[in-house]
Amino acid sequence: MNFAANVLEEIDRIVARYPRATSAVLPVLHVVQREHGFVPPEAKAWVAARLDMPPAKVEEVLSFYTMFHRAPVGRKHLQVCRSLSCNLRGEEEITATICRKIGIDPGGKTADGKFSLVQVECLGSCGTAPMMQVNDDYHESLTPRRVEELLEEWSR
Amino acid sequence: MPKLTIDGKEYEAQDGQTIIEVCDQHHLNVPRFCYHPGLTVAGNCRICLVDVEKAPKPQIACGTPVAEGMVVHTDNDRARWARQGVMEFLLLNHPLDCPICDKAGECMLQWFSVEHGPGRSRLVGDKEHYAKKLDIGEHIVLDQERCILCSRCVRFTDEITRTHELAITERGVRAELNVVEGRRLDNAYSGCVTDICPVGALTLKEFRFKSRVWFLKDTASICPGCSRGCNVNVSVNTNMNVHGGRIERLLPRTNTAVNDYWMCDMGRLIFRDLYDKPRLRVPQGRDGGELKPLTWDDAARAVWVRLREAADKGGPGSVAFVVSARATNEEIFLLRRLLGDLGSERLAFPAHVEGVDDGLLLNADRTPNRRGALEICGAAAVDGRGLEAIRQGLEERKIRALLVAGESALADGILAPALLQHLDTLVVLERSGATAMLERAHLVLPLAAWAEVEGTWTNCNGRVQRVRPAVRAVGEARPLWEVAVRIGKHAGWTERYPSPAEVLDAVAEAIPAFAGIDYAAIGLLGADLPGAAAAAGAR
Amino acid sequence: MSAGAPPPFRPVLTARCGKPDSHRLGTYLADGGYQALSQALALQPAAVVDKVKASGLRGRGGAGFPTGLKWSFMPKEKTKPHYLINNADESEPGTFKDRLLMEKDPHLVIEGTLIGAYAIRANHAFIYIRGEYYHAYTVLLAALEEARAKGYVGKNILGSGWDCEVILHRGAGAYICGEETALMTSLEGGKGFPRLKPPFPAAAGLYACPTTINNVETLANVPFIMTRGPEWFAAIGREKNSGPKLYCLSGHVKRPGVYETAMGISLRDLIDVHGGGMLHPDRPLKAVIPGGASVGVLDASEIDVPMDFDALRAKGSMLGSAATMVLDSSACMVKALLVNCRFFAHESCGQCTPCRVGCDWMEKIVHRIEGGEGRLEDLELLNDVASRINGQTICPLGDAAAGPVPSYLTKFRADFVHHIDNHTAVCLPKATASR
Repeated sequence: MNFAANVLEEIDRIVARYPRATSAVLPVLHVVQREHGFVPPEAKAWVAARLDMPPAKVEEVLSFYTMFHRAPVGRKHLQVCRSLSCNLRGEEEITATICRKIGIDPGGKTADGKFSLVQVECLGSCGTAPMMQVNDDYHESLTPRRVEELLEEWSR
Repeated sequence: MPKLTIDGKEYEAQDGQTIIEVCDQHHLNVPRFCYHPGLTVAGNCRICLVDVEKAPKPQIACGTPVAEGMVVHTDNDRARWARQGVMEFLLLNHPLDCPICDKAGECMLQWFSVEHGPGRSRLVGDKEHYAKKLDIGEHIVLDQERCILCSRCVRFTDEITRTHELAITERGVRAELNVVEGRRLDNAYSGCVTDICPVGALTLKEFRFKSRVWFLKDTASICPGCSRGCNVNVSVNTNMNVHGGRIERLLPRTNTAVNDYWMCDMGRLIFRDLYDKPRLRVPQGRDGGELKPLTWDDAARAVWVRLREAADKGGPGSVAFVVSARATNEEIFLLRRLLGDLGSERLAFPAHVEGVDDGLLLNADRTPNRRGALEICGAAAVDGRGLEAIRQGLEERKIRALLVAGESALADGILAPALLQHLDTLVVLERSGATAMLERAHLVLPLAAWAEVEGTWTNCNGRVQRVRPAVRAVGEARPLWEVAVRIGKHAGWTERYPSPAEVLDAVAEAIPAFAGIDYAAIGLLGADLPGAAAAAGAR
Repeated sequence: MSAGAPPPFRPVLTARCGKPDSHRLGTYLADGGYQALSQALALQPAAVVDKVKASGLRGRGGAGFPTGLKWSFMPKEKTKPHYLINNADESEPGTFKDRLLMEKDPHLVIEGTLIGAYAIRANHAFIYIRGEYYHAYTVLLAALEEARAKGYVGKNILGSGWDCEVILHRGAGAYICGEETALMTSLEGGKGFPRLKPPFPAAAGLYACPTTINNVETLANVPFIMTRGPEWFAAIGREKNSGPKLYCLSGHVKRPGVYETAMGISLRDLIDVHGGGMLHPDRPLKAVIPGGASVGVLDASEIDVPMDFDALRAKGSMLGSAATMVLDSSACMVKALLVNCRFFAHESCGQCTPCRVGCDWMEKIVHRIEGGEGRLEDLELLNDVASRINGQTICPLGDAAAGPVPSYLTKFRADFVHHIDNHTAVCLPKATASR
């Protein structure tokens, strides 16, 4: 695993915040994912060694939390909320619009790597349903039309 | 000391005990999967739910500390209803592998589903499927579908071996047991996970498809692999159509004073030694350059006559015995007496040391009775000095007769053939093999193996434990203690030794270290030598 | 406005949320921010606990446990570090109130956290924020830096001699981490696995040390209890159900959003007065889930109920996280139940048997019914399976998944029977509309 010096320092600062090094596993994995776009297989051993925890426990964490990707996702990772409030306000049509527009199913990624699509559970934006999170950003109060516009914009 | 009522009877418990511990202490049946007394409490299987009066919902017996005045029902309608629900969930996706699963007959899921399960599946549609037949270690196969995610195995590798190979990954119904990529379940105690797995998810490759467990007859004995003396059950196949009379496996036997619930893989598989080399089956004597069969009577007489001759000719110390520290206390005592009758004290037990004590159970000393040899014959007999003196005596030709019991492989080492060629008499007692030493022996006597022998061993901490015969000796092989008694008759011994128990009584009388030790005291869990009780705790 | 409309309520918790730069320290201080902290530091920690006890504040995360009482469970004698955790893992479907506070009034969140930490004699406070709330995280991070620079966080706070570090910790996508013991396991570096109780967090929690976990909104009330007094708080609402309350309104209403009123507003008024009434004039109200996916559903005849802990419990539901989801006549209750079952099956940590297997099984049964492959006996089966999960699990997620099921089956049986009898995946409202 190669990290820039400033990233290693950032990781050191993160670890130092906690009474126990293992507590830093989520924030450190977030950093790894930020730097690489996903969590590469080599990262597990590196993180395990850095935090003095068994690789098996890092594997457990990686597989348990939905935000970590073990393979690269699209440049725009579309996470559409499918919980009740969004479902009531048209999530299924939003998802269908996306699938139709870029030609993939939930769980898939476009061949050019531009987009990937997943369905996620409640994102805490029920007042502006339906909505989706794209990478880190919320896109709220969606309509099929608005979704198409966004996808076109991002396709350029 | 809280008093509580369980199923209508009052019990006195200790502070901090959980309901399940009190139940187990008094042999009250509470089903369990994830609970294991040797591991931390997980409380995830939920099968041990019991009805505690005044509690709003059923409580898990394994995770509920007892309280003064608590009233518990382990088997009323409420408890049974709760358990039936749990059983149904456990069986919902469980594969119907019983006809091909090694665990059948000793499977906790089978036991409790018969007692507590609904009897019918209400699932419509497909079961959830997972990977089967995964080779995850040198000795272990994993079937993820059978796994009920009790996490006993994970806790074992985390808490006991601290090797952390196992993980439960993913979430919800897709949670599964795994080894982490690149690693395998290869610690020295990996076989233990197959003992504690309540179902057939983790199975031992060496036992796979060997036998149905209801054909196995168990004998409580001791592992011969090292000086720890882990308590074991030796399982012998009684199915005469398939491997009748063969040992199919060793399992650890619970003894909290010695090995708790565990044993190492080396010991677990040590029984295979009995089948990997041809056994010696009849006593033999050299006649005209060739070894020819003898009766035991003739053989025993010949041994005594030749050893006596050598002693008479050579004077004191001209006879030497080199004996394996696998010999029992009884055997060591009798051989020492025999040697004494021949005017010699040259008795040595070669060391077999491999590596270092692993901090858990496996000791560097790979013999089960070095301590017994030490207590009966003294330090020099076991620390190498005795053996070195014998080697010197052979070199200087002061030793005219040598008896080697269970150590004929030494011909490749310290007792090189060159040293043996001048001997008037070389008596070799051995289990199997065709070593160089046998080619030079004048008398070759077949010995019974550890699994065919009655006797006692003293472990590294001074605990005397019974090794018991699980199978009959092959051919005409006899236990070493019997051979010694036969020879002793010709030496003029008047005592009757009908069994090793009488020999141990004699040991206790003659050796202060063994005072008070007899078979009754030893029982199935052993007894500490009087001076050793203090050391027993420090494993 | 309907008859008996509640008197206009001046927002307390959300007073700043609409202001420009509401998230900045300057704005907060201009409003009298961090004076509550000052006042608290002038008291003994036990006195702060007493104030919160006297106020009657009950937890706003879902369980409604009295906060002062929870704080008083911490050991009287401190032999190990104490920890305060602000549970910002808001993930209950329909809930978005903590997000509002964190994004718009982070200093209120921080001040409440600090006072809570002081009251339980902690020197470390963690804010465990769900990983998806990235924007709120950046806002809180910046606010923490402002607070630290001004001496409200760190060593010798306001010259009191009391040190407190506040650590903002991101989760990574697991609803179960909102359960307090799972949160602690996650914070220690593991999967979000709930723990057996006993031991209770106040005895052995984070790193086996005494720990208190409180919800964002709960702690946000604390500065106001300090400055305005416990009697002020207790006078809002009614006994045991008092204080200002954030309600998250969503679903088929004209104005979904977070609304702050005195606790106990009638559900009807919440929908009509604040929510602007039903989204479509020709689609009357069919059902309301008052407190999140974990609580029982109410039908149209049951909405004249005060939205507080005890009144909703008496109605067979719960206030929960005050996530009020409104469903109109276009909604299929089988579909609604399916979406919720799918949620719980996806979020089950998988540790214990009834939840791991049962939640997935419930989803499968409802899926079959919704898809037209159900049988009449599936209704009894679903009810029975739910009853075998409820009360038998390590943590309340199983109860949350199973508890509401009977309310759907009894109050909206027609929706289920429609799918079953007609062997159809077309929902009743759609089928009716198409006639």
